[in-house]
Amino acid sequence: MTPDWVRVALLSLALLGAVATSGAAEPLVYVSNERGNSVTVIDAATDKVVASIPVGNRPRGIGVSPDGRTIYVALGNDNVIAVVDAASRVVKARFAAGTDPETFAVSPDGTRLYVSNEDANTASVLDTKTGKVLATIPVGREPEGVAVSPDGRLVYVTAETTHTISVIDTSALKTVATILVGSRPRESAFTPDGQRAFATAEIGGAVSVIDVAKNAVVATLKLDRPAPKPKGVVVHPSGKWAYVANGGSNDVAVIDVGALRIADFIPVGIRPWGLGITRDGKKLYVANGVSESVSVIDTASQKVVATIPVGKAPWGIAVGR
Amino acid sequence: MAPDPRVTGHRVERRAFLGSLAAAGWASLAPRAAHAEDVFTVGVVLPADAEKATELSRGAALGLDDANALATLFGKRLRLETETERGDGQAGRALARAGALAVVGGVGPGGGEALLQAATDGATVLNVGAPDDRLRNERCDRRAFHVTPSVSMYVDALTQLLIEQRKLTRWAVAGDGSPRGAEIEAAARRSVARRGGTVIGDTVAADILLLAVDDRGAEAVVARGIAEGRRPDRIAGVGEAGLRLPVERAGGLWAMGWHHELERFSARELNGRFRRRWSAPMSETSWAAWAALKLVGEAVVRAGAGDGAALVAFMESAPPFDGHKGDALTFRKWDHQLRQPLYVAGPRKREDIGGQLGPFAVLADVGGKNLDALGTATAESRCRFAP
Repeated sequence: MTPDWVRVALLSLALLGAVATSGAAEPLVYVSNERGNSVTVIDAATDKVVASIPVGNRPRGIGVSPDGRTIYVALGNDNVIAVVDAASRVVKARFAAGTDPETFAVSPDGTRLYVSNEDANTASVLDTKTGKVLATIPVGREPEGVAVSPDGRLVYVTAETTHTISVIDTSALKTVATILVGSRPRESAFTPDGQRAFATAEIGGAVSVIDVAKNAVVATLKLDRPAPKPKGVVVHPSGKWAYVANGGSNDVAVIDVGALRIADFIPVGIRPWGLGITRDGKKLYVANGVSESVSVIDTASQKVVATIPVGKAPWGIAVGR
Repeated sequence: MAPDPRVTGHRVERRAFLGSLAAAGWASLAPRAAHAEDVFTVGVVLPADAEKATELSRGAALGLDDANALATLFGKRLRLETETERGDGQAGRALARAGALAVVGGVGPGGGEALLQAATDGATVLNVGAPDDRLRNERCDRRAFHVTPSVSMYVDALTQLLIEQRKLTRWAVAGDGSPRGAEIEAAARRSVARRGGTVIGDTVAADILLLAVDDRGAEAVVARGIAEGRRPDRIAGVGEAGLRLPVERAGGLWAMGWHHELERFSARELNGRFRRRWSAPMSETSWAAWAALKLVGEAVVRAGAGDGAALVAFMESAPPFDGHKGDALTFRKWDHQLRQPLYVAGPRKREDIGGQLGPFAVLADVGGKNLDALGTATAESRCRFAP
């Protein structure tokens, strides 16, 4: 007869195994389809499309709340941010977000959205509970990309016409510095330690490396490609690599963050713009707007391991839990 | 125009200001409590023609606004001074003598030659209206930068589309004896031959009739061609003159540097801002003037350019300029022509014609893959800058 202690031990192990399995579930990847007016949902475990959510007109910027329960989508033609319940996959609210909202960032604590308003040359701060606009902050001309520092203290807003990044203090809710970067900056991303940031310059064909504490560009990495037109940028959770989507040369540049050099170019689909990386850093998802697909890159091998057809004109990517 | 007493050389005397500035390409600034700035004057030579003067002024004003949106973030500001050209080249020279950092002009008959007189005096000039090939060749000047496309670039855009893509290889040329017409014809003979086509004398048998005329002759030749039964899409011309044809005589395929309905690469935003401000479409001249002001603004901020020589150095360093055309626009080393994609516009379908839209729509954009396929290549260039 099996001793009680053995049965308890076996039962405990079984329970632990179940918990470990459910805690390690692969996340869902959300893709905004600009001309499809939808969001495609991909299961990162299988890299298969599991749903398509109709959201509204001209979805572009997309983000997920830290708890994974809410997806936010900027609807440029509806002038709102759609609030989608991740479980039911239904739009449950629409927040007025100024004219033609294109991109935004979710604060690390999930309480705010920082939205760029291109026509108004401002950034709006929204309360995620109520949708209320907490502040409207003047930034550079034709603002687009928005990124929040990992500690939530700073927000970077790129401006295409002034070629600047406005640095917003999230406590004071005002611009505290302006950094001149490359020509036509599109997006930026912080390293996990918050010490550096990368900003893509689409016409400049380069990536500006920013020392966050100094509010200064400390290096410019030229992308050695014919007309690369860099757009999206993300940093690996380890902080070792950064990835840049080159919409013109149809590849993803891999940046060695420590050495500050371009390590590789990975060919993907046509006109890659949006990027999303899983929280464990194992997979990078790339939205290819013209080939209407998502490339899946295994970051260990730095190779494309899958190509997934999605909706019309995929634009942005957000990775949930 | 009296010289501005605050201008010494090319800059206002420096006043104290808050924040820190670094030269050579990057800068960071905390918000400044006081408005103490370095102010730089840009001279604009207006043509005598009122309509063209308006287009130029409007583009320059929007460009000034955009330039200052950047410059004022870093303690600098641009301002404009204008003079009207009287045909003797004195307007640009006066602006230069009064301390303008750069002189923008070249619009209107003889505008290019008049502008170059200021360059000969030592001013840095930006040509936003004269497409003459000879200004980029025999008459080139190291202090002159050409934002507006050249005759050769326009013609190359047409042959690239119509010969290479549409295989319309037999061309005839209808000239009017004007100097502009002669340049267009010469460019056509080079360009058509380079792309494997032929220029024939028989205008009836030709696939394409190219109008080698100046702006004043365009309407009459197009009208005659259409009256003779020629299809509008078999007539080709250079510049915006054709777009001003009455709707009932709209015809031809026109190569141009900008169109008010362009949308990609934030052209929609630029066209929209222009239209909201002026309740008018952004013309090619307006775009070139906007671009010139923006270029000067970037030189002042990125390179700390405070005089003409520094401006020349900045432009020659080929900084990637965003003209909302999707490509980095840079000046060619050999003739200081701004590389850029061009557009070919043709008659809109009758049912699409609306009051504000005009009779022409953009049919193609040309040159993006190799911007040096448009215009004079380095090996062919007759420009020799003085050391």
